[in-house]
Amino acid sequence: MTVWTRANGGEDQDDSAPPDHAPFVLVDRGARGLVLHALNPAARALGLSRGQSHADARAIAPQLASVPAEPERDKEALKRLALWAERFSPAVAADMALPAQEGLFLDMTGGTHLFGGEAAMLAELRARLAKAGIPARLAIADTPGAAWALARLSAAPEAIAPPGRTREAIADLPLEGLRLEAEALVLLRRFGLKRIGELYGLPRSGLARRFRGEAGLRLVERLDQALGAAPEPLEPVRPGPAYRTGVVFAEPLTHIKGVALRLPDLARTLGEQLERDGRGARRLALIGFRVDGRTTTIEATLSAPAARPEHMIRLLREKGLEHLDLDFGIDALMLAARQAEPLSTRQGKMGEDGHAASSEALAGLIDRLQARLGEGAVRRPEARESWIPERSEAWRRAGPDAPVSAAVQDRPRPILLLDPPEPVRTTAGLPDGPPVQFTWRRAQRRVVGAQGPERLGAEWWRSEPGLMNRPARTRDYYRVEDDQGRRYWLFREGLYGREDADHVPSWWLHGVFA
Amino acid sequence: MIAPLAYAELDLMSNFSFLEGGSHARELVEQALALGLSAIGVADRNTLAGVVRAHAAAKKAGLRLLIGCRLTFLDGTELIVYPRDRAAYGRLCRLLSIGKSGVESHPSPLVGEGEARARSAWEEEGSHGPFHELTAALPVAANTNDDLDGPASPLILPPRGGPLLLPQGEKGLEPQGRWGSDNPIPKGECRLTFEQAAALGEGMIALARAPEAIDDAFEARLLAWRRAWPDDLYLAAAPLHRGDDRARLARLAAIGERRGAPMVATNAVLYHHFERRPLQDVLACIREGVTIDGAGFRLQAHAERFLKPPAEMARLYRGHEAALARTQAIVAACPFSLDELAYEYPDEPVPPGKTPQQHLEDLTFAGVKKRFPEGVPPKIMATIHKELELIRGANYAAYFLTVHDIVAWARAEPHKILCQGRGSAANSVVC
Amino acid sequence: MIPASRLHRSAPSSRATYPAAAEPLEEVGAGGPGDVAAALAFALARLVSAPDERRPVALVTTADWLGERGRPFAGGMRAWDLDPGRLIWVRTRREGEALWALEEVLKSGAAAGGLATAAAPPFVATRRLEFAAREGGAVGVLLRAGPAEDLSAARRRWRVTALGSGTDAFDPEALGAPRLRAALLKRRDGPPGAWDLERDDETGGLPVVAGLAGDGMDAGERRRGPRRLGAA
Repeated sequence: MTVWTRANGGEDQDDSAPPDHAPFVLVDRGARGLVLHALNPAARALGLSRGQSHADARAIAPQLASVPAEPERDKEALKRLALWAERFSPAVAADMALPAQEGLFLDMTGGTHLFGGEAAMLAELRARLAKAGIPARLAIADTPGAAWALARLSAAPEAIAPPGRTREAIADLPLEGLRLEAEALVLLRRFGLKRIGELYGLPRSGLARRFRGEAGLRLVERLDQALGAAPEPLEPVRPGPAYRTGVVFAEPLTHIKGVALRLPDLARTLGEQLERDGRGARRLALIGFRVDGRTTTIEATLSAPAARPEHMIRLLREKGLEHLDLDFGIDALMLAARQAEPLSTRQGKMGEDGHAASSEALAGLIDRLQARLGEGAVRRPEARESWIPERSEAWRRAGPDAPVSAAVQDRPRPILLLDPPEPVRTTAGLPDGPPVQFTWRRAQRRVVGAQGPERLGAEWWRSEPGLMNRPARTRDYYRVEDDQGRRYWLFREGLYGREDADHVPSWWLHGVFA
Repeated sequence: MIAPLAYAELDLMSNFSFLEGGSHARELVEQALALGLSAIGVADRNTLAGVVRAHAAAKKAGLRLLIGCRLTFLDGTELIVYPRDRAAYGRLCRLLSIGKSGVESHPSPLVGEGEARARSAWEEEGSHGPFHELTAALPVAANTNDDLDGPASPLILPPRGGPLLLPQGEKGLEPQGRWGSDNPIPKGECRLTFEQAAALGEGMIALARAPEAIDDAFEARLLAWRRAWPDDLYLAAAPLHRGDDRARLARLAAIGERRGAPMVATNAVLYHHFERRPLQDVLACIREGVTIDGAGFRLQAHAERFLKPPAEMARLYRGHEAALARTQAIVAACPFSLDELAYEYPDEPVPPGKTPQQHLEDLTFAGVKKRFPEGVPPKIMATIHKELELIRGANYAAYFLTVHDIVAWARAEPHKILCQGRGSAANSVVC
Repeated sequence: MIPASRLHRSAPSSRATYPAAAEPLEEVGAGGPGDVAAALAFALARLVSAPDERRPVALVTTADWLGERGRPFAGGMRAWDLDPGRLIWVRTRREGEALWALEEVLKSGAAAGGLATAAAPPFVATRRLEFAAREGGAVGVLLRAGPAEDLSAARRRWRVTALGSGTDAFDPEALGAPRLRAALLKRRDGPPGAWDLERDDETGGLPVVAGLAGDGMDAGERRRGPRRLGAA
């Protein structure tokens, strides 16, 4: 089905919309100066039309108010409208075709029953648009092309072409309904052709030939698309969730408790859908469609694909259903898998039956922890190939499998790392003797055993500065033990005699050993 | 106050260790001189290609230079060898050409005609080294690489001590299929086994480089190497700056003592100055085919592998003064210099009782008679005498005999290879 | 410094045996503020004490604890026989969250064990943890900043202090294998005891080098004399 929103700017709430009775146009730069880009009803009533030169229009209607069109903002507004319309369809495409940028395509396949049938759905959609100050014409047909034509050119503001009757439904519509270029239209009119139906009887090869090249082929293609003989893929504003299920409420739902009550049913249905395809959700979204036309969503990411309803419910509960902002109520609730992956990719090692189960249990654990503690709260270490200790290890967002780590160096490393390192005062022999004592966090420690230095050169190719925002220098690391048997990892940044020209080498504590 | 210690760096690679060494021989020589090193030994990986430049630079600077090579065997183990004398240098050359040509490249020294001849020649030279004992003691490696097992090679051993770099055919430089596309060793590679090195290792001083991880396998290797070089095997240590050098050196010294391979101090030098580290890192990236961000542990952890002054080496090897002193012992034991190769040319076969010069003169006059059957113009004759005199002065007769050989061979070929004499001296009559 | 031999000589005069296998819930307290690393290492050793266990191990920390002592460094845990590939770090803001997270970890069955840093865990929470650990076949450890005497469902309560390192075979000045003293203050399966443990650098395990009578906490004994220092 298509929605045709006739007036631009309706969504721009910061623009004060002009009154309907005063002629108002948006103008855009055309090939020969400014041309009318969009008109309000009053302007149309004066006989003005899109594409007309602004100068001509002013000659006809001196009182005409005009402001420059902003195609980019129009585009944005249309996109926002498309997202809003996702409540009616998982796949909404914005018709970005120039010059209008004013239509939406909604793939309603198998979805209208949620709203009480096609007619009821159209009425509701139009009412909602009207409430938002967007006059619209709507149509449902078997093909985007036919719906486009019906929405714009049928007599009624809502049109429905019954399934399988597209040919008849658009036969009487003017040729403009085929989304043709201006030159093609002129030529067709020259042949005395006016209505779409008049093309049905003409030999297609002749049609294509008449127009030589592009235009002819385009005409045939558009006709085929409208009649469903040629495909017309739509590009949704965002990929619709492959798996979704929803429930519509007769009375707006105003309490989270109601959501919690409905969630198990939704999860079960979604789980069945996923399971049927052998897939699991990687990203779940619970979307409430509010009566004020906005949506409220909670999303949860899964570390591994899952299709079990209990897992999904637990995860969303952990995430906090109370985060749904119901405002004055929602009239529809949808559970969608925004991302789904085959369940089978998560198989364990050969012959380890328990592995898959424990891997699933681990994924579930990680998801629950993350849902409550935050997305980044659960991490696993990944070894990286860098000699610089703080760069040799990264804590990655956890998944059920350990991150693939680089080779590791077998060198003594502390069990706790101070990142960033903390400055210490030391007494140490020159040029590279270990500290004999040091003061850290105001406590002085006497060193009774030391080992080092382990020398690690700076990564000269990196642009980021080192400690204290100075160029990084060589580090000499020492493992030292104090008279209490405690072991520390200290380093001196800067080599005496080699790197001490600008700044004296400085001492730091980088970690503690067990 | 400790007396200033003498130190020579004996583990050093120049830029002739392709994409490894970060400094030119000249830079290394000049830096060594400036730091007061008593000598340096240039040991590039599986090549002697850099020795001429190093020699020239050292000679100019007045620094004692040891010519050596870092042999990397097929199993990844490494040995640095320094020939004591010219004969050993010749054997080292031969060893490398074996490694590079694939001739006699079988892992076992006892397989193939080439090896057999190499062995007999080696024995004929009067050496009674540990060859038999060695080969008997070592397990013969299974020949798993059929590519290496070519037909028996027509290896002809050069005259004793000759700095032959390529094997010759029996009739001079015979065109051999092996030198063409059939050469089993890709250009730039060197495939050698320790057994092959041992077979030609007489007269060399061998330095076993300590690996990063000292294990039993290393000790076992030392034992085998020791059998090949009973009196001339050293254990080359180098500080790793991992924090445990003190323990490491103590351990290496103990192993060296136990296995009869005294520890010698080195710094495993990759460049002459620490400021070369970025360049060396970039070379490593090119070598490994990685970006600097992705190079990781393929890069050195620090910039310490540069030429260090004797005092600093003494500090690093405190408690191991003998290891430092051994560098001097090795320098003293290897008096060989490339100067000994000056004007040396592989002998050309000449009729008995004749010198190359006499033989060349015979051939020249015979040839000129053939060319001018009606008598040689006096002007030509005068030129010939003048040229022969020059050749005699420069002692170059053998070289011209080689050219003669090649030309004669080319003319004898059924395909009549076009010969225009020596390319760069079209004015020479003799040629 | 105390030579290793002397430590070995102090034969266990207590009848207590070192309990190598961990109970479902144990408490490990640091002997002092500087002993946290030693306590953490000991706690990890308790977590991985079960042989043939490959399930992950979780480390649950609170924001306060982290700010004080730095972040876990997996590269340093490898030496304690903990494969970093098994490690999961859970960061929480408050202690309540940390206890909840540890409970989730333990009862999930997906983890071999987990430890949580806790200053003052309520008794009820420890009961829940004990139950969760049994349910999930896991080992739980509460890592306490200092010695505690409050009521806990933990079957064992340890106090861990750092000890001077062992000796290096090749360098008398170097640090040998790390040592620590673990005193078992409370247990249900026998009398309390104390043991000196030294990390086995081959396996990362923590064999006992000495068992001590009583609580074994002779503060003077773990000090080492000054040593000569040198650079390597």
